[in-house]
Amino acid sequence: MLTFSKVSSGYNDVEILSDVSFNIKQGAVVGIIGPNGAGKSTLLRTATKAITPFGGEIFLQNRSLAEIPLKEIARSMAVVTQDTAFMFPFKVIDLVLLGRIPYMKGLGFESKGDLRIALEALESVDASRLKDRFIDELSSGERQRVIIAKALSQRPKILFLDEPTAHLDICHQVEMFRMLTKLNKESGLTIVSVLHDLNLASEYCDELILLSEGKIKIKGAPKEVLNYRIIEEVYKTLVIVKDNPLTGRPHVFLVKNK
Amino acid sequence: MNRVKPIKFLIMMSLCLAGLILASVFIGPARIPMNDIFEERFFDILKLRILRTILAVAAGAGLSLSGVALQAILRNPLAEPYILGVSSGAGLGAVMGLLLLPISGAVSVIAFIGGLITIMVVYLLARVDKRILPENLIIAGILVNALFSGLLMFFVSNSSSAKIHSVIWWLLGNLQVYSPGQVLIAGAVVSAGSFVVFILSKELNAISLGEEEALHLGVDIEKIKAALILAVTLITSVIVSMCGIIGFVGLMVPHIARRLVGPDHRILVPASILTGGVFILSCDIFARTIMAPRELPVGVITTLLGVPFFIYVLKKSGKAYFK
Repeated sequence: MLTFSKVSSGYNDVEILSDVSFNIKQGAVVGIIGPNGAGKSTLLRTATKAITPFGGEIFLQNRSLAEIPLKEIARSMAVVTQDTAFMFPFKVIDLVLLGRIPYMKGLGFESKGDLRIALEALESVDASRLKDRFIDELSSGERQRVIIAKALSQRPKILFLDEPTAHLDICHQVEMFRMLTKLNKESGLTIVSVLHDLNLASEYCDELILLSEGKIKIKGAPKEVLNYRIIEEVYKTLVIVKDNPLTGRPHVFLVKNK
Repeated sequence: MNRVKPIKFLIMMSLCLAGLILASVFIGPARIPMNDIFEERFFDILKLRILRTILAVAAGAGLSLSGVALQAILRNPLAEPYILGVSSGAGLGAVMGLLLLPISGAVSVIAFIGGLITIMVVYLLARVDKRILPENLIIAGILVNALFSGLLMFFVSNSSSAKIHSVIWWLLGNLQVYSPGQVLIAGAVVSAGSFVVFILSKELNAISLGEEEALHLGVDIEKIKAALILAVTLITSVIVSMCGIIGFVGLMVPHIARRLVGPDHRILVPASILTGGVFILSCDIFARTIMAPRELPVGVITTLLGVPFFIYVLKKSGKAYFK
């Protein structure tokens, strides 16, 4: 689905990611984790063509990302960035319809089909009841759902998210991931998400990519990646790793420094 | 303030504009007696008023449209047509023309060139790494505005009092018709520019969410921004070069239109064009009649009527101002 081959990237000649290679399979749920400044967001922005890599090559469905026109990319990948700021008070349904822009021609007045897809997208994030509300009147949790609905109305094959749970309480965090898991199971949507919360990542991702200083430290199942030696080394923090008795997924506990 | 049905609003505004166009043609300080209507004087007056009406509608529509586009591109509620420095550049050109040149017809040409040069300077200053960042554009605009205003003051402070009056009159913004050709050019440029902005409405919607958001919706932001800024610059430069600096229209009309029809540019762009035309025509009729036969600069009226009205609209909605 998505392949990085020896990619290096960064901003204004400052290299942040160096020599990164990995492959993400179709239908996978992948978490990108790592300390602040490790290059998680840079990786996401490089993968979504928001920045051009210095070197290496990226393939989306076996085609070089550099050669796919922006519009076509927008039809196969959608991105939920961090803190989307809405300057204008869009109505929820109108905002979700903006996700149809990559498919629209001319002036871009939406067809019945576009409207149906937008309503389906709202339905799939359990936000149908919000459709006539204004975006600036919603709570953080509701907003995040609407933003994801906008991304889904692009009908993407792969969805990128940058810390989708940053401003949410634990109830909404769990809800968010339950929803993403459902989308993944039902429509085979590939999901790649930058995450800070290691335990959420462990619980909901099939695979984790741990970044450290611009390089991939390890990529694998949560059980392999969330090893206390690796985590202590990368995060420079003492931790204990124990399995969740219910799911068997590893959880990371902080240890007070003496 | 509740939003209104877009189609209803557009139809209503079109009717309003049509009514005002008629009023603007038939109302004025010079009376046209009914038994004179076959005399040459009648046609001269009528022709002048028609031209003036075209210029007014072009100016109102063009400034409002430019405000809408710039507020979205720069993602800034304070953006207006003059924010990138067109006004001070054109103003400097016009003042140099008024003070240094003997013929008045050349003033708008020099002003137009002044406006274009300014925007090029601003554009180059704002360009980093082959990209135009909105914040850079605003800061570059402010800097160039300040510099050119300073130069303008320098010229004004060094000129005779007789000439200062014509300079100030120009700076205040007025809708006097100098030649039919100019008016037709203004009409053509504003129409063409409006068309460009209108066909890019859905891209404006995307850009108003943020540049990276727009990119992820498949919009080639640098290309679209360049096209929009070019269209807006041409419109504003032409208007400023002919009408001087008509204040407040380009800031206020987009806000009012957005409150009424919402932020969707496919509706907002035509709504602003119509609202701008209606607003400035009303102001001009007022400016021509209130102290007749003397005429006030329309820029004075747009500001004096516009500011209280805008405050009323903001207060009435009772929400945050930029909603």
